[in-house]
Formats: sequence, structure tokens, C-alpha cells
Amino acid sequence: MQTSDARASWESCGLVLSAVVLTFATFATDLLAYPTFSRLLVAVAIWMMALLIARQRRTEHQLRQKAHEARQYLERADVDAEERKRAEEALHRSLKDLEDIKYALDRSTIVATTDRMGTITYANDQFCEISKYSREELIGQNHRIINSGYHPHEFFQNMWRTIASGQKWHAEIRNRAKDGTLYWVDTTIVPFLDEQGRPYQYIAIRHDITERKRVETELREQAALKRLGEMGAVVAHELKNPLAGLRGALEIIGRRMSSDSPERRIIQEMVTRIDSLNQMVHDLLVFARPSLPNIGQVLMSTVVAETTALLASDPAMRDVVVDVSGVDPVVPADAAMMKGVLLNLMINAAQAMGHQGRIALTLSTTNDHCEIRVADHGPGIPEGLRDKIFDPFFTTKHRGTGLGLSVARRTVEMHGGTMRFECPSEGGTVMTVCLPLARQV
Amino acid sequence: MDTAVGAIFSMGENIFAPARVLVVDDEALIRWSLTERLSSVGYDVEEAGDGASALCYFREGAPRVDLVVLDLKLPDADGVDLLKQITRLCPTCRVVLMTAFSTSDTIADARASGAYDVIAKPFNLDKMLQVVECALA
Repeated sequence: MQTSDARASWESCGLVLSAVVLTFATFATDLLAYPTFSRLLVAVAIWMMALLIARQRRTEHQLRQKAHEARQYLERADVDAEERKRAEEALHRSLKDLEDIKYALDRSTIVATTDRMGTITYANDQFCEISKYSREELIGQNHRIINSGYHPHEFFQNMWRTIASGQKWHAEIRNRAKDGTLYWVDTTIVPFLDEQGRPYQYIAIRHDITERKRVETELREQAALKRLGEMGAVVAHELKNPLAGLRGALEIIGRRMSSDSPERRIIQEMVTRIDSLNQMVHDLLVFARPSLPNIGQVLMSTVVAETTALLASDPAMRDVVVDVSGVDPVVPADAAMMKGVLLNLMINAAQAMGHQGRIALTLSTTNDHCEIRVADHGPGIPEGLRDKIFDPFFTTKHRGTGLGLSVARRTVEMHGGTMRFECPSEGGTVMTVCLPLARQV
Repeated sequence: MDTAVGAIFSMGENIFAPARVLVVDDEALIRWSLTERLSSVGYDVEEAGDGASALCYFREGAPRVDLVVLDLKLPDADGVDLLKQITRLCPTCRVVLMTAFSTSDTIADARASGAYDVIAKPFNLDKMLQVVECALA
């Protein structure tokens, strides 16, 4: 561009110079009286001037065009810079948004990623918190580490089938934390797909719904209990009346037999069976229609003594000894209900030991609680049954409603207390009832 | 248990007459077993299978009843209502209620209406005898 401009300048200079020389030559020839030659020179000079003007116009036009192009170029450059700036800002905003979303996700939900084989590759703080495993313990592991064994095998088979086909999967899962506590999570697993549409990674987003599940279960149980309670009143009357008649009649018949008559033993056995039946009906009724505790100041030693005496009166418990030790607190409680709770725990303990051995009952207090520990030397509760023992209607016994522990725990909870159990490594089971020393109900 | 014989003479017209007990229940086996057990220690026991029959024992001129063992749920009457009627007709008569199923409210209502005790069914006959003896003592 610069070269052609310079050439154009030199050409213009040459033309101007030639025109000037020709003009002088014209004057000179005119003075020398060569008019024809003079006219020729004038014509040449005019032609050259015209050429010069044309050349000048063309140059001006080219310059205007270049200036226009330059302006356009500069404008375009401005636009490009602005666009780039806008793009950079958008990118920055997107990255910030992404970071914020990740932060919000990490703060509010349980997030984990796995590779296509299901090995955990990322676990956020929430996951560590709920599972009680450290990040190091989780990464490199399979999700089986938190499997509670609650869901059937087909449940997870279906999950894998769905996500391996590139589909999103959603369900509510009960998991087990490192310390054995169970928690529920609402889970969505989304596969990340490669160019061929095959999953190369999965992201699991979970929400803790343990509390919601607890409330749902409670509501379901309440509805079931209401129905059971309504039915119970009718069933109880219809069952207990004939049972009372049968029991009374058998008692009378038994009295008429001589004490060494073998039939008298049979009659006694029949009365025992009727009492068991009655107890089952009673348990069902108490479970279905719990009454509120009638709280008084209860000396625990009295409750314990009355309960152990009751246990001792049962011929089946003649080889069971209860060792009572510890302090003797006064607890705000319903004495009759507490007797029921302790009797239940002691009968369970005796049954666990095959009705033979020693039960250790220890009373202790903390600042605000009284603890009653009932320990047996039985085989302990099998690991697979530990999360079921407080479930209503769950029983390992040949006979029984499976309501005893469930009712006992609810009774303790109605007193503002808690009931828990431990299975020490050396064997046996320790049931602990914890009651507040100040009235809470 | 048969030592209770000495404690069963009521303070009626004839102080040497045995106390008169009325057993009211629609379940025949309960009536029979109670009658047998109470008679065995010397009580004079009558039976009624429903509320209407029970009230017949409190008509004018009928021999005095000292104690009623009454079922809380009868086919023709509510036990607590019957209890109120009996205590109105015979204020000195003691009433022991039997119940196969009742709420704490019903039991409180029965006690407030004058029931001496409320016994849950099924019961041990000796336990019932003890309550009857205490009520008549």
C-alpha cells in the first residue's frame, strides 16, 4: 500500500514537472515565433494537466476508500473487542454460577460420583456426615459399604439395569451408617454419557428423608392402631368372656379332683393356656389402645422387688436368679407400667438364657436420669435381627405376639425416657431403660 | 379358703343367715363357676343372665341381696346404668363389677357410681372370692 502511494506521488510530481516545463516551453516557442509548435505544446500541456487531475481524483478516491475501510476495520475491531469482553464476562458468570450451584448442592444434598463400575470417585461433606465414613474410607469403595440389607437384591438389579442403559433412576433407599444407624435417602442417579451414548460416570444426588419416613411410619402405625383399637374392643369382649367362663369352669372341675389325679394336672395346664391366650389379647389391646401413665413418685427398689417376686412366682422361672445392685432412686413414673416394662425385660432375659442362670439388674443415676440395666448371659441378639427387635409383631419365639418390647419401649417413651440395647462381644444382651428424674410427661 | 365361712353372715334381718350374693352375667360358665365357688364357702348365691332378670331380685318384698357380682356389659343393659339402679333400689347392696374390656373412663365412672371394685375377666376365682369377702366385711 505504501509502495503504491509513493509511486503515485512520484508519478504526480513527474506530471506536474512536465506540465511546468511544457508551459515554459510554450512561452519560449511563442516568443520565438513558432505558433504551431507552441499550440502543440499547449495541447500536450493541457492533456498532461487533465491526466494529472484525473490521477489526483483517482488517488483521492482511493484514499477515501482506504479511510473508509480503515474506519470500518476499526469499528469492527471495536465490536470484536466488545464481543470478546461480553463472552469473557458470560463465561466468568457461568463459571461462578456453576461454582455457586456446586456449593449449594454440596451444602444441601448428598453428592457422590462413581465410575461406570460403581466405585466411588467423589463424596461430598454431606455424604461423609450422614454415612459417618471419612472421604478416604468412601473413595475407592462400592456403595455396598452403606447397604442396610433392607432392599431386596432385585431392587439394586433394577437400578443398575436402568442407569447402565443411560436412563435416570430415582428411589428412596434405606442405608446404614458406619456406626450402624439407619437413614433414608431420596436418591436420583444420573449417568454421564460419552459420545457413543455409553455411561462413563454416574452422579448420585441424595436427600436425607429419615425424619419424613419416621413421621410417615408413625402416621401409618397410628392409623393401623386406630383400626386395631376399634377391633380390639370387640374382639377382647368376645374372647375374654368365654375365656373367663372356661377358666372358672376348669378351676371348679380341678378342685373336685383329688390332688394326685393326673387329670388335675391337665386341668391346670389348660388354665395356664387360657392365661397365655388372655395375655396375648391383653398385649394387643395395650398396644392398640395405650393409656397415659398415671405419674407418681416411685421408689425404684419397690418396683424392682415386686417385679422379681412376680417373676419368682412363675414355676418356669425357678432356675432364674435376679441379682439387683446399685442405687435406689425415686423416679416420677407409673409404678404399674414400670413393673410391666421390667417384667417384660426380665422374662426376655430369662428366655434368652433358657430359663436358667442369673440376670443382673443394675440401677444407676446421672444428674438427670435413672438407668436400669437388665443383663443376661444368653447368646445375644443375632446381628440380622437387631434392627427389628422393637418392631411390633416381630418375635423369634414359638409363641408370642411380638408386642412385648414394642409396648415396653413405647411405655418408657411415654415417660420421657429411652430404651436401648447392647450386645457385648463377650455375649449376652444388655437392655437399658433410661428415665428422667424430673417429670417430663 | 373355706375359712371364710365365719365372715359371711350378713347384718340382715336374720344375722345368722348367710350373705346373699347375686351373680349377673350372660356367660353361663361364669355364672356357674362363681356360683359353685361362692356357694362352696357358704354364700347364698343367685344367678341372673341379663339386666331385667337381675332387677327382679330388687322388687318390693324380694329377699334382700347383700352383694351383686355384675358384668359391665349385658345383652339388655349397660352395667353402670344397672349399678346405679341397684344402688338406688338397695343402697346397702355392694356391687363388684366384672369387665372383659373397658377403658379407664368407664372404670372411673363405675367407681364414681358406687362400684366396690372392678375385676378384669378372666379372673382367678380365689381372687374374686377375696374381693367379695372384703366387700362384705
